[in-house]
Amino acid sequence: MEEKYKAYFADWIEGKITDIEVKKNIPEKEFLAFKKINASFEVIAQLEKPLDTTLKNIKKTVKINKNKPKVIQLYIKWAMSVAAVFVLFFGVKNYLTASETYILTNYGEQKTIALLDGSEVMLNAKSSIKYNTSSWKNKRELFLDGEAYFKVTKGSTFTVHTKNGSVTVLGTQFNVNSTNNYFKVVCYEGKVKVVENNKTNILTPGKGISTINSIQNLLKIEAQNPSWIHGESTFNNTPLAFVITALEKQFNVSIDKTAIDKNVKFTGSFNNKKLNLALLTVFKPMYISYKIEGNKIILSKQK
Amino acid sequence: MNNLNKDICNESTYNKVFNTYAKDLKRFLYFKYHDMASAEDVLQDTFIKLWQNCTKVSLEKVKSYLYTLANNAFLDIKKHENVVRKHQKGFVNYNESESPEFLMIEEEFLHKVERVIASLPEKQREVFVMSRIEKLKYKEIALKLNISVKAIEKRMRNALIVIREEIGDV
Repeated sequence: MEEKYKAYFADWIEGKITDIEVKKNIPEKEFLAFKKINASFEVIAQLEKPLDTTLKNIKKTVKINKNKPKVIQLYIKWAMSVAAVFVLFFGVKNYLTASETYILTNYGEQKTIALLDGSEVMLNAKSSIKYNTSSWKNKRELFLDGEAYFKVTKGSTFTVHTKNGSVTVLGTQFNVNSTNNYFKVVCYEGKVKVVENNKTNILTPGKGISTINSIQNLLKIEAQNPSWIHGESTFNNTPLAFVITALEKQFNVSIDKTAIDKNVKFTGSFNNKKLNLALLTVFKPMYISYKIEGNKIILSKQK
Repeated sequence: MNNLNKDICNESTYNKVFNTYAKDLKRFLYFKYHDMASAEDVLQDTFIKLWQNCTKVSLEKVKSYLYTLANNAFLDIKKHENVVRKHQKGFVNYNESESPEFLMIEEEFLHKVERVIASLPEKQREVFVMSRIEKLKYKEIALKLNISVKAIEKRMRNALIVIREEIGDV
């Protein structure tokens, strides 16, 4: 390297001579070297510069962010108290008013209801169940009017109260039909305890009990589940009056039975969908003729 | 570092972490970007993130945590730059590193310059560092070292000549 280059370098860095003057006296390559060395001085200066300002900037940003959670916290507290008031209000309201659940079906309607413990209730036409949701956990009991098929999950005692008596089980499948002067319980699975007028009967699968006009009968059932859940109503040696009530419930009709003997026993089933078919299957074998007048059906003895 | 307080959320611990690693991290970032402003921005972001995640990072792992964050930030920015470049293709041929004014300072080269500065005779080095690195004026240096401005000029000139000589071909 020529000696004079070094002097030019020192002079140029010190600002004693301009770019143009330097360029006149040294090759282009050397001038680029000057610039690069000078640039590296600057880089070193920048890298070695104390970082106080950077730290200050960081702290400033961090502090702004730090304030944010405080604001959110207050908001959350506020929101939580509002939520608590709401929960309290609705909880009390629920406790006072809505703890009783009431489900009913209309003519010809069927409903399947899942209870809180996973048990299932299939409600036949014109029937209702009522139970207390808040005390359900401690005491599985419900009130039934009409007919229902129960699939009870295992657990504590499950009690079905009716006007005619109560049915107690531990987890099983059974059907209860309770209307005025008619009470029929059929067990399909497990064991069912039926309490009726202080008389207790234990039913095993395939057994049933019916009390019609205070006359108790033990039944043998071959079906796996009640026929009505498949759209058929089945009767076994049942007075015709109850069969007619069932027809009325399924089809929402009123049947005039004044002209016939209501105590004739009926064994068989009818279709829950087609009124004509149902009427035919019930009354034809009984030698009863019927006349449909809109919503009314008038029965008469066949001559 | 203080063994008693290893919680980075503690402000004095955090300051210590910053003072220990910030300069090296800045250097690391500078050689990634070849741009001082970007290096400073990312450095700042990295330490802000460290503060936000101070509960999750242990003092033993803070160094690798910082470098990982910085590196990821670099990759993110490069990815973004590539997208921008793709869109600018055919419009403007914009690339800062190719502008005639740009001088790429490689890490190797900078180390060489630093080594040369460090090997200067004590009196020259003192003046050079105060003037060129700490950016003090000759008058301020003269006051500090209790020597004349003329003497400083002389030392400075000698220092520069040595530097040019030691660096050799560029």
